[in-house]
Amino acid sequence: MDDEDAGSLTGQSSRPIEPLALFEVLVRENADSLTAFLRAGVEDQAAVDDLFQETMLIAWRKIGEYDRVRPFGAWLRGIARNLILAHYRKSAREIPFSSDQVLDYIDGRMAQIGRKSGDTFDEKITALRDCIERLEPMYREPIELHYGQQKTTEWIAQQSATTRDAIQKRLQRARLQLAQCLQRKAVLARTG
Amino acid sequence: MADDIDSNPPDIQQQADDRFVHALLLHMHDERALQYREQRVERAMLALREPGIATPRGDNGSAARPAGRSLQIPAWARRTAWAAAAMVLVAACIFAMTYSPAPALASLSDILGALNRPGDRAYRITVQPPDPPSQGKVGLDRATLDLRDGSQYLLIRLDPKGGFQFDGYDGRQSWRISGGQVAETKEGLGAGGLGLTETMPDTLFSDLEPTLKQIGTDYTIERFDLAPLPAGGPPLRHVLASRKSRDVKGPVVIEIWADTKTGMPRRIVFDQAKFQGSTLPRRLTFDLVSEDVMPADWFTPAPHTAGKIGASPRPAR
Repeated sequence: MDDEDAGSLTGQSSRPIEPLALFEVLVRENADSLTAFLRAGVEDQAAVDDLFQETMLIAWRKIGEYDRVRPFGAWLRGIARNLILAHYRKSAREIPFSSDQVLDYIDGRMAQIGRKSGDTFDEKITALRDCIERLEPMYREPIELHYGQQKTTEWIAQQSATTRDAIQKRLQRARLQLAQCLQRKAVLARTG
Repeated sequence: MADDIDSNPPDIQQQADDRFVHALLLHMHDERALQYREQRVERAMLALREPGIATPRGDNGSAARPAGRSLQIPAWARRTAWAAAAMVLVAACIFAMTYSPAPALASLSDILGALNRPGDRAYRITVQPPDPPSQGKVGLDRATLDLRDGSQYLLIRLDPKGGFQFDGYDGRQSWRISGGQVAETKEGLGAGGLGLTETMPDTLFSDLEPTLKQIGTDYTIERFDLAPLPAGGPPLRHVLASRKSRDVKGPVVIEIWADTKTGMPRRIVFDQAKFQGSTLPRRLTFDLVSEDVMPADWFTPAPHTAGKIGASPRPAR
């Protein structure tokens, strides 16, 4: 089933399916993409866990409002988007991006990923591995160290005899190159 | 990876792509992604199955609930018991010492009174993310903490080798049972080291008085209001306190929900707490699961040794 598959909340078999059990199936199928969306909006892992659960609780409460024509994953992200913004308001922390539109744009990216072939979220983003391989070493190495080996930017900077700021810039450029690579591979829509 | 994205590209689309790819990279390199996904889903479904917690609304019923941190259940306490009992009170005392408006102090005084009231309480402990099973340590995730009055406790933890590890204090002596055998007894507190100092964040919970003094100066009350648990339900007394600076040892955020009438804490959350020996921030959630009366000898070693009828983790509730 596609990550963005709306599914059915009534079930088609002769035996009725418990609504909550079906809800769990849909949740499980969309859990990775929802978590990725939350991680894009919130850097604190504990907050990601909290917001994930809150999204589920609200989704279940509002399941009657769900438009079955829409992808279920997109609906969940809509709830999560509002929770992310509320999270920053509540915690009085500065929103780490310049506009709410950033979340909308990320939501669009997630939808594009969801439409790709593949049974799982991992299968849909396999192209990213190839894109990483194609990066120049000066960009690929910090990516592998930071994400693959969980090294801090401070640590990488020390090993590279450069500054943390320089490593952060390099990581940022690498991520943008990866986004461009995914566009070239038609995983993501091209931007103007 | 808090140092991932310190600056944003000026263009909104680039900002979004930067954060989007960042999230994909985190997922791709997370060897425990599957495990965490299952934990998140199970945790959410568990909350949804709690009676009266979350009921689907047929149509346009608003599910309005303040968005915020944590989501699970409550907490508890015991004053004299060293680590485990201290944990409970610490959180409650934090607020009594740091929040100045009189109504808040009065309310928090009720919470402290409730914690010290005679009776039995049981709390379920959740640690997110939990220690990987491969480490083989007796952790706190899925442990239960039983409390009696202000002077007895029993901490029951899963032993990765099988069975449970029991740490108790009956008001006279502390004891530990491991592998079905009494491993240690000690007059007063501290048998077995209680183990909690191995897993609790730094020294915050290991020594009550200095901790309280420290918290009194190092935490700020950010919210004091009525709010339901994140999963829903009736409004509860709600307190949220945050650490004033990174120099302070202890969780970044502490949050309490307490019954409006009795003051009994229903949940305490220690958020972004760092355990000794680990750099990964954790969240400890203490959920009140029962106020049923436990057997008279429940806080002694006898019911929990191998071969005894009461060796199961707790009486059926």
